[in-house]
Amino acid sequence: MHQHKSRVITVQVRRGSGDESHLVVYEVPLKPGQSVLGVLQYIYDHLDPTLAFSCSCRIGLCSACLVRVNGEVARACTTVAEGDMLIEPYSSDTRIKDLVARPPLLAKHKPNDSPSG
Amino acid sequence: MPTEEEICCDVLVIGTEGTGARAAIEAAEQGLSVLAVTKGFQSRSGATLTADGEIDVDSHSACEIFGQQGSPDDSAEQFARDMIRGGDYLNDQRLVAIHTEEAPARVKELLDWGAHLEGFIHAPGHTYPRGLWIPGLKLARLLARQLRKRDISVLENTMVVDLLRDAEGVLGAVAIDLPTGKLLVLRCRALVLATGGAMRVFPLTTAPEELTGDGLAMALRCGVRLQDMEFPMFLPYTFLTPSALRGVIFPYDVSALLEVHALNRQGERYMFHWDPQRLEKTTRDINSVAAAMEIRAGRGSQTGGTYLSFKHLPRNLLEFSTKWFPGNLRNWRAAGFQLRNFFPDLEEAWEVAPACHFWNGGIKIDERCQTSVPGLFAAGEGTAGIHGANRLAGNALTMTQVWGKRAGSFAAIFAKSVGLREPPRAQVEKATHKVLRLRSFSSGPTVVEIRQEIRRIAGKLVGIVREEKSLSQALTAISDLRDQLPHQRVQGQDPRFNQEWIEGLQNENMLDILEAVVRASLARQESRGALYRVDYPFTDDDRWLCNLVLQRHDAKWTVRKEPVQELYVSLPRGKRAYGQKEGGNHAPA
Repeated sequence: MHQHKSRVITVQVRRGSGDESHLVVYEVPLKPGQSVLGVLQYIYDHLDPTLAFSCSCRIGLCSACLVRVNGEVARACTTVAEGDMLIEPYSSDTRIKDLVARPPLLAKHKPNDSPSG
Repeated sequence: MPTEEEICCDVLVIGTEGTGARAAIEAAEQGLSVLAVTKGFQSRSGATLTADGEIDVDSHSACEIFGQQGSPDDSAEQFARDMIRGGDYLNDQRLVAIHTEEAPARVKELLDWGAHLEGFIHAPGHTYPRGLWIPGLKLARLLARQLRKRDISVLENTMVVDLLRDAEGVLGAVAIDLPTGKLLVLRCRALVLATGGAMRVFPLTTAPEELTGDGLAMALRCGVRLQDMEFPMFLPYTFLTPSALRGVIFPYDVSALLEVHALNRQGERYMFHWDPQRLEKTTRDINSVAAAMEIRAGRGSQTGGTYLSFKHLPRNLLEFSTKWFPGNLRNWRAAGFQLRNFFPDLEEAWEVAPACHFWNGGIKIDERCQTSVPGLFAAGEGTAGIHGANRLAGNALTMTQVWGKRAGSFAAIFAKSVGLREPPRAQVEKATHKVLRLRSFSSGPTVVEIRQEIRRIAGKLVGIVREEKSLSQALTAISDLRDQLPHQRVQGQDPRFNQEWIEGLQNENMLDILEAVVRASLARQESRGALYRVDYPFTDDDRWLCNLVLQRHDAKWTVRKEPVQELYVSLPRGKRAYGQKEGGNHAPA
């Protein structure tokens, strides 16, 4: 799968904050085996540094880069960009700005927590 | 002028993951008000959660306390000896003794809080098996639950810009609340830095986004001494291609399990020149240096790395590996990636290169985690003395718990002895000015261009193997970049979650730390641990068995040699081949 020739894809990104949101369209050259996170990083580095998105570990562990890709919730870092796509915040309710959204709350008290604290 | 909001606490902890969380818990246990701040999201940022999962204790305790198949012949003292040998004798022997003695109690606490041991391994460099297995992600989330149980205040998405101090010491920090862009003045009686290393200075790294050396740089600017900055650690085999996997996976583990071949572009197994007995199974520092030397000699792969090949192994043998590989590697998964999606048949070699993985040196601390400035404590990755010139596998997570707890404890004791003091207005303004400057019009290079230039210098002129000529060029390039820093250009001025502001501030931090690496590497005229000098390829114990301590006043740097104290492990004498400790000979070809 990393044998694909480089080509240009159309990426729509849902941006904005609060109740306001709009789609912005970017044309991105796709590298072989590039992730959705790689696409976002390309947009920020080369096309539009005002785009806000978050990521941390880049290896599919932390979930800081959760977004919706064509409607499906996914980690941007481990999702391979296959072609034209729509990228949105994973949840519009917890969006801070553009693709940065407060992550889902982690379970507060797991049963195996000891009572001693 | 942006509005400033003031928040007061007894102990301010910067960093909320392995080390920071443990420090916050300890200070809160002593009845103090604690505020922990993080640049990212809690439990979703920082290096702790990326740790595979070994947390080391001496093998005797592994049997007695944790019921593992360890060796009763081991002891805290033997563990300390291994750390000092692994650290090529630059470790602070007092700190190492504390580290190995306190490790079992800290891991026991984790089990009391609900952690489960998922395995037990014997990693290279350890005389006995010592690696208890608790995945970093589970550890980070378990500690976060302990913070919530104690109602410890956590501010997420809060980037600290600079520390505040007066003649008596540190009294707070200026930060930005990233979601709003508002400036915060955080006031405290004692402050703990738990901000990790600066691996993202280098273009290829296994470290998460946040690890840009912010804590080290802020400490340096505040007058603190840094030590052992010439020893960033590299892992030899991380992916260069495809782009999704770049620098982020650890196929190194695979090379320890299977007979893999590291090849240069001529198809030669170049490790024969470096360690003819162990070949690819030698230690990671020698593997990294060997790969870097091949690339440097023009024998690298198409994308500038080396090759790792499985082609010589029969297909059914490779298929069987999915049944017995340990942990995450079973079924060829690496972190969140399924490697077989990218490399379906393992007929082709992987293109790999060494990536910066850990920061052995950092802030100079004493047994109480005190820095050279009163009221400022530091712990975890980015502090010097515990690992010396190289870290043993599995010892990073141990460091977070042993030293996080100590920092929290001693910061709390200190905090009880002093009052809150008024931050000097000039310092608050100096810090806020850095943010304001990013908001004013400039025609200079963009923050992205500056970041790319810092990483170009780190990759091309500093790199894994170093020499005087390119290090001197790096100093000149850094000086040029420092002139441009006040004029770096930001294109968007929305104060909410402004990534360009974050990068603008990180650029200054990365540049400060890169300069410290260059100055320390230039000063050390030998090769040792994680540092290889092409122009001084021998380890010289007569001249260089010392720590290099760096300090900066205004723009003037001092680099001082401090001898290592010989306490319970005797120090070697003479001159030896790089990588040779006792026995093995790894003279470069």
